[in-house]
Amino acid sequence: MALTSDDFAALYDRHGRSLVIFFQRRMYDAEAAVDLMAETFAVAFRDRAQFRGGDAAGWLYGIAHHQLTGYYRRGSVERRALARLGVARRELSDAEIERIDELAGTAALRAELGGALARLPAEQRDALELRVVQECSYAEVARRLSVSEPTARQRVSRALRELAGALEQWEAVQER
Amino acid sequence: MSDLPILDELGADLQAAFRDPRGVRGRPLRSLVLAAVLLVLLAASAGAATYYVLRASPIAPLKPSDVESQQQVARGTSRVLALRASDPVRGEPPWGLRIARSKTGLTCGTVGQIVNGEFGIVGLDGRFRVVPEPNADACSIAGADGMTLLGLRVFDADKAAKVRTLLNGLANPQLRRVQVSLGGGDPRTIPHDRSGAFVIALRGYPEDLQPVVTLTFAGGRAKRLALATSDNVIPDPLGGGAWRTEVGGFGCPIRHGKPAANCHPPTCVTFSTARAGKASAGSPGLCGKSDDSPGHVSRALFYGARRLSGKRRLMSSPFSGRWNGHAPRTALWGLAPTSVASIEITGPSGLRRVARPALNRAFLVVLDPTVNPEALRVAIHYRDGRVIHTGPDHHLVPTPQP
Repeated sequence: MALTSDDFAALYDRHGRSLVIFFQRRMYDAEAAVDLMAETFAVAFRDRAQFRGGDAAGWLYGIAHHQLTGYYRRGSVERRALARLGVARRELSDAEIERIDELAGTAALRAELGGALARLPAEQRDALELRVVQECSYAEVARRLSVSEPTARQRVSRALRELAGALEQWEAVQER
Repeated sequence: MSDLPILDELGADLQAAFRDPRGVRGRPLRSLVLAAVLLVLLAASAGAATYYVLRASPIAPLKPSDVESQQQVARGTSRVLALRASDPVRGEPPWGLRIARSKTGLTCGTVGQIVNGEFGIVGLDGRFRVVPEPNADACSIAGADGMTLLGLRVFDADKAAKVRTLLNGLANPQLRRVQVSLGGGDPRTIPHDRSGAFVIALRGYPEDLQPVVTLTFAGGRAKRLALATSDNVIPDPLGGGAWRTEVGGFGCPIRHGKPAANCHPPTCVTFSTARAGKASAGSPGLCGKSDDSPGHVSRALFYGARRLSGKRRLMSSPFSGRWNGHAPRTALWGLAPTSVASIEITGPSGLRRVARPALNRAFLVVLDPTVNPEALRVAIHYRDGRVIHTGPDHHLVPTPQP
């Protein structure tokens, strides 16, 4: 069943705002969140022939996840589908950036992540800080912590898994 | 979505494209000229500051319903002054000032560019669009000091080099000289016309320029106005964006519903690019012991010097910083009590800078990245005449993890 332009308009009205919040909670960058939301809709429209019917929102969020993965990999928003549609980039006002932050509950998320960090075993927290904050190589992390490199990798990996778990739990509560 | 107008605007763009995807393909994609952000007015009506987002369409005249009556331009009263200011980029159209009268008798000013005798704005797409007569930047009446209008109008852009700040004003025929100094530099005289109007086009945002305008009138009376200044925002010494300090702290752990006893969490000072955005950079926090308590005047004094570079990402602490690939800088920053008058920083090759604590008690000196932070020396000048000399780091404590 092909989606019409009216269907897309309805999808946008229903999910545009939620998608911005979805991206903001994962990127902490309101401008990029709005850009990715728009690109998600543009990609969905471009690929509308691939929609096989059923849950349009689920299909849309699948595209959103894909966009997010691409963003993490590239470190920037791809605007190819928007470019094809000729949709120009819009600038956010400071008030809009603050409002998106507020809607996404970023401050609460920061506190939640801060708590999760505090609950990490010290050895994992140290390894995570060296790797992520100080951008040390794993060899350097291992040297600084006087452990083997596999152990350093394991500590960082476990710490990230713990934080991801905390984030998922927090999101589940927020979205209930 | 009224609390987020951008979603309405984007929705309209997308829906138009969904309805006619072939019709819009190939449309220019760059965002064009953006916003008028800042108007500094003297006794001006706070009506509608014009806000342009140009997208391959003419600039619409402001609707009377969107404009305060004091700022509604009376039809046929506009005239573009002969005064011209060149754009910082050679070959770009010159800037000018249009003066009009409002329906309530105020004097209104609008800055714009002049192309083939028409008054408008050239967008970042290179297209010139006429600014309609009803669109005034600001309206005001003549003050006792001889000033009617003084404004900083920002034309934002997607690249820093294209951002323009238009300093413009209207005094009276008694005006004899207008001098402008930028970022604490030497003053330069800019042209004005017989009516006392002046305009100058500058590259960058107001806070990066921090212009100080000195107007000298017949008889020698001078009026000095510092625009876009704040005691916790300092210009970048290498011509980049301005920097802003922030002070923050940690709360005490809650035990049995009350803050833990004898808890003195540290206070941390960070600095970051004054204008937020994707390219904004922030320093890590430097923290010191806090002695803040009600009724007590803090004597906390701590600071440190660092060379900042790279693309650090914030993860574990709000004070871990994110330099975000910004050009490297050496900086010395920290917190000083109100009993400190100034902080004097000296270094190799005769380097000497003086900082003063802002209202938030933070201070900051930004230096060329070739300066070795460890080579800096600091002299703290107290208001009572005492001076203490230290190295580049003083009374720092580790940044706490939340």
